Amino acid sequence: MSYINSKKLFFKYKNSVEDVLKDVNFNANKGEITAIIGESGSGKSTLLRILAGLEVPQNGELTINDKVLIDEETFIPVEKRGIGMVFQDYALFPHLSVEKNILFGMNKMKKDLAQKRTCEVLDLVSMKEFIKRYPHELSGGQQQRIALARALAPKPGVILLDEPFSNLDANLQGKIRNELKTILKTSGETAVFVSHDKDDLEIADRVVILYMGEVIQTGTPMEIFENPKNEYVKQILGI
Amino acid sequence: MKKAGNKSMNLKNLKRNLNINLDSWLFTSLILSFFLLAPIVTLFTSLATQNIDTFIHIAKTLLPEYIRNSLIITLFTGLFTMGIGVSTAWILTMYDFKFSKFFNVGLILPLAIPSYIAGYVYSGIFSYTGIISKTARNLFGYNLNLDIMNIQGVIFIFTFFLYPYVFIIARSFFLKQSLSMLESAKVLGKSDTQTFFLVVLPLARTAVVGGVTLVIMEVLSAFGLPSYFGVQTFSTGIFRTWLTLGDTDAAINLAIILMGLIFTIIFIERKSRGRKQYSFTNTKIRPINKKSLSTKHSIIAIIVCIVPILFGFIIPLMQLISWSFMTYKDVINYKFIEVIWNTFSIAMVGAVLATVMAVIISNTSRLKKGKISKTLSKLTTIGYSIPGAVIAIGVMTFFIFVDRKVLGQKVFYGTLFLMVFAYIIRYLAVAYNSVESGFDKVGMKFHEASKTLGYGKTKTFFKVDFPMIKGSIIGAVILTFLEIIKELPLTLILRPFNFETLSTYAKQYADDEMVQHSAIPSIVLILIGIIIILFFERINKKKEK
Repeated sequence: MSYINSKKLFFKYKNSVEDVLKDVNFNANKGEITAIIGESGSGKSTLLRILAGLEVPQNGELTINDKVLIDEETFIPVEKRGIGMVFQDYALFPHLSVEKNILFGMNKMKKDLAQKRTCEVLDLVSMKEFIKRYPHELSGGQQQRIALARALAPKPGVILLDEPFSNLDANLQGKIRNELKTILKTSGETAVFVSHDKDDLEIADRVVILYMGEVIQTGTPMEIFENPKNEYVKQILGI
Repeated sequence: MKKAGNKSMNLKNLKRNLNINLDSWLFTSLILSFFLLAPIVTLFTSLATQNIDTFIHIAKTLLPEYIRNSLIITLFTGLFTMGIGVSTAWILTMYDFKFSKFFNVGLILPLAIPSYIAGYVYSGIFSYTGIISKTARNLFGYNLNLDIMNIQGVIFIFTFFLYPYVFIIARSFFLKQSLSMLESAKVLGKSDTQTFFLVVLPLARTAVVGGVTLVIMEVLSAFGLPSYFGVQTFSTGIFRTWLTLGDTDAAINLAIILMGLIFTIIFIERKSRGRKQYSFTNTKIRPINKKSLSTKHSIIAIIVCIVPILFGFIIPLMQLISWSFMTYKDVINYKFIEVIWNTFSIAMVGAVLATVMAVIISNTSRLKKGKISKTLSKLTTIGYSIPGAVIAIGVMTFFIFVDRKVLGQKVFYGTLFLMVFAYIIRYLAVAYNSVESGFDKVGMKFHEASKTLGYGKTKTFFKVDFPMIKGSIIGAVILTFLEIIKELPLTLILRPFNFETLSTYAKQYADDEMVQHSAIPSIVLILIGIIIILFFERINKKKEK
């Protein structure tokens, strides 16, 4: 049984004629990194937002670790899901220091434990010396690491990343990609990220390819590269 | 069987959707909207159809005059403010000349002087004992018989004290225009003047019409100036019918007609935008390099810019200062301190409450994607386009109903609560716009980030949203405060017996033929206005940089 399990997720924006997601079935295994790949408008960010609880699908089911988050009579709101998320532009609170940004999600933890955990995650992302800085005093790559540390701090079980490399310089992307993989694997969290860039597949254990709101192929990066299902997949992979 | 299954599924779905959509923010917002809209709805439902003899009499005898005067004042003030506002904004955007920095600020300052105070000042200046007639008599032995207290005088004052609405909007539009657009016109062989009339003005149409619409709303709402000058308009008509003739039903009917007129103007303005695009979304904007003017042209530009400041600010302020020196011993006393305290306390309470409500409604509107919250937010801010006198009548009618039919005793009528409530309805839009622009600037990402970290809507608001939009919230309180302290008609109708604010105090002196004595309360109002305008102009400059 997969750790994240979704069945027949259907989503459409109000006042829109297009269906964004059409009966999407999506699974992710525990401790793995899953990449959702597709061109813009394929519905990949919407799927991630539904997993987070930021959008409400009209139909479908979602369970994480066997806990029902969405079905026809249940909808667990985002703040009660215990899912960590790294936003495309990081969304670090500008009025809070690095330390307070990370402590933010641990308000239910004892103060000394929360402080200890802050040091742990900062250590994990190699940013301990930046603890007193404010977000605007950090570079793009540093902000991304702090956003990751903030999402990991409450030990969420699942971590979602929205286009994690799109805001970084091309020459920095490769380095950060490898660092991210190491951090996620060290933390042992189940991770799902969305991307439109085939280069990002190298850190994924599993890949889901979306096209116009439908899943058209899933598998390991190797399986997909070796047996692309159609022209669209070939195009996405640059084959 | 299948039907029963479907029904149970629909019920489950309904329960789920209610859980998702209903929360304390929406609930509070709905309650607030109900109370804020109730007086306006009450007014509409109170449209009298029986015992309307007075109204029929007014409709036959006075209404044509109200309509004619209101239309003449609106038409000419609209045209003149457009002329001054657009020309000064264009000159200051395109050309560099001496004192242009001063004019950029100076041309806004007339907004600090309420039109009724300008009316008192100019009536004094042009009176038999005023400075013009006196000088003519004493220096030249000439008996000047100047009369400004007529419809032309009303138009003159509205023009010089309301043009900043057009100036501010037009200037902001011109500053954002694309240099490429102007250069294209030049390449196609058009002169500066042709470019202005063929390219710039048509593009600026929406912005200019928006500014002129604001002017028209102010003109139709104004009571103090036309009343003091003895020019009968809709607003003065409502007062006369309500207070002099004592006919509530007829006053309500007049108020509804006025509201209908205003909504028609807003509707026409929105419709006239049509499908044409008046923005520069497809063109990359390059800032304009200002041209230096020759000495001759500089002098013309300086004259064009100095005249509105002279008539709209310097002359009335000088006159008020001179009157203040004459009358301060009579005016500054314990009663005056009490009036200042009344004004500040009531305006602060109104401004803070309006801002709190604006925050609740605006936050609900951005968090809920449905039509209901969006429509409610639009409806609750409609009060700004309704004249103060009309809102006052609506509030009074509603609370008389509550006192009589619901509570069975006089609880609200004649209390300060009614005044504050009416201020909130009238100026909620001012606070709302400021708060909404704050929310727009920070967007949804921080809110969503906070929610993924386990915080609900309310905690997120206090921990994340509030600290980030604090500046806009303070701005909302200050701007609403400024509007409330200047408000006259609403205050006149709803104030408890013997309760004076600076605006009613100044009016009282003017009505008692002691116009010089109105200078000190007027100057206090103007000084607050100047400080607030300069403060916001500075903030806007910083933002532009």
